[in-house]
Amino acid sequence: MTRLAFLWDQSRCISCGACIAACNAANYGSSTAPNVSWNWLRTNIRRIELSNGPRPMLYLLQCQHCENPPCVAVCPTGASYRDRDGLVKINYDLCIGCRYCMVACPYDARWFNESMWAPVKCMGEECQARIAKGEQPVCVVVCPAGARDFGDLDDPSSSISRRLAESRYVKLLDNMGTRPKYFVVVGP
Amino acid sequence: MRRRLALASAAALLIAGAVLAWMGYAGRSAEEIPWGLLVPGYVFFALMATGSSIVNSIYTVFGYRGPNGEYEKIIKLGVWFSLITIVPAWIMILLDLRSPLSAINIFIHTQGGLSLFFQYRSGITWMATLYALFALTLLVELVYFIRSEASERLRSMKSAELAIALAVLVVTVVLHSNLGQVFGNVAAVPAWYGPHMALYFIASAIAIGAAGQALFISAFAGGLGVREFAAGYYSRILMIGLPVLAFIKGWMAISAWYNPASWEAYSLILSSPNFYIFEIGLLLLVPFLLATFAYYKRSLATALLAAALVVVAGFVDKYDLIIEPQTAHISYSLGGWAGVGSIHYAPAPSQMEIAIGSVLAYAALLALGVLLLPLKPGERPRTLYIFK
Repeated sequence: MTRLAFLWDQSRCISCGACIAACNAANYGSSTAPNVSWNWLRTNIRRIELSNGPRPMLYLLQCQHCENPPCVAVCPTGASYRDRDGLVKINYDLCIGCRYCMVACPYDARWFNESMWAPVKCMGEECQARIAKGEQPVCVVVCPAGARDFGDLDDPSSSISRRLAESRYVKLLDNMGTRPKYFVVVGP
Repeated sequence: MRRRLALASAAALLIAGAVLAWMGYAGRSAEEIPWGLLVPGYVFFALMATGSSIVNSIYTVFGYRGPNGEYEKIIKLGVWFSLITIVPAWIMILLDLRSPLSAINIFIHTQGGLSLFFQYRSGITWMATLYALFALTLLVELVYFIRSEASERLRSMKSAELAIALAVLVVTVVLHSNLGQVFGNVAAVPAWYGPHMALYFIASAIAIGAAGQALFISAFAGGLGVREFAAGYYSRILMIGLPVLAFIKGWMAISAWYNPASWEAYSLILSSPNFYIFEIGLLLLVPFLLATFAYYKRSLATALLAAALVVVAGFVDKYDLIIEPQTAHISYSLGGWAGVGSIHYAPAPSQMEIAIGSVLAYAALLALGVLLLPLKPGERPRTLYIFK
């Protein structure tokens, strides 16, 4: 079985925003139109600054491709679904734009695309096409610090499996039972 | 001549409402939160329709006829009110989708051939199913009452009448409790999460439904000689319903106080003047006092004032309960990641156009029913089985 997952190494990330810009360019044609839901760019990666701790901290947030995704459970048409590789996707032929998935996602990982009148999220179409060709998502490719990775958790020889075996990591809101597959590496 | 003028006015209002709603739909824009104005608007009318239906069941299921059989004179108007009040809810929610017709995807998929679909885990799937059943059973009930005026045989079929009424009641209760749990099942929004939403929606529906129906029935109360009955009946429901609503609402706030994630939303609600002016004062306290006065003095005017306050403040209540937890959503559901900042939400003009258009169309449909259907005592169906 294949279980595709993301890794973001917080300890390596230099906060350059290349992943965010690359996602915007590849999946949204470098659109400068607003993303009203996030008050942000049209990109599937959200930058969150934690400013109330002892020192500023950054999180890059995106779809966690949960193994038990609430967005899929609440979707009335089956438009939100998990594919056989474990990625959570949206079938826009079925999506009715009810936004229940947006409300149900505890990560707020979906934003509302006004031009489609539907929610969007990671992965965008370009990244899906890249993965179908055996390539990595653009955010992983452009990261100059090697802070991002993507691959199959069930393949012990995959880069992501090896990095996780050597690292300390957390999964966000794991206590909600969503079984997220976005691993935040916090150190070796 | 007067009837024709009234019909023309209602038709014009219906067209104006439809045009306004369509203008809003054509010019709509994205909002900061997933569920903006149209969702509380939809919930409000869905609750008024279902609550009104529960109020009807006091006659249809539980057999209360009033001291001198007054209820019989207004029951058809009550059923019509319940049936048609669901329409603005549908307009608002359908015009909030990608396209109104896309809702068919809930049940029918056309990709790779025609197939039926039912996602039983989604509360919205159940809402769509229950709305169809609600409208169908209410329509059957209304037609039964209308046809009973012309058929002695139908009038004597008391067990059929009860069976229809029971079906309406069961569907109604399941419907608005499920509507509550569309919100209550969302673990990502802590202020909503839990079974309290179903209970709150039922209590709220009864209060709003009784209030809305009182305002509608009052237009005919004088002519039908039921002023005293209406004053006593509706004010009594408010006298019972509002304390129940206050009880549930109070525990919701107290419960939220013990849960920091929930409190994030409730602190927004409680720090707003809306809460004290509308949700406490004009929804609970003042209408309760007015309803008590109206009940003992049999004052229809006072009962209507209480009802009007419950309707207006009831909308504000739903608006706050649905909007504020979404604005507080991200900052707390992600633990301590409060750096996201709070979201300020104000309804977009296009959403207001859709909402106002829906309400205009609703008022027109209410009037058209009274003009075209034999809903009052003595009026009999003569045309196409159900029209006057």
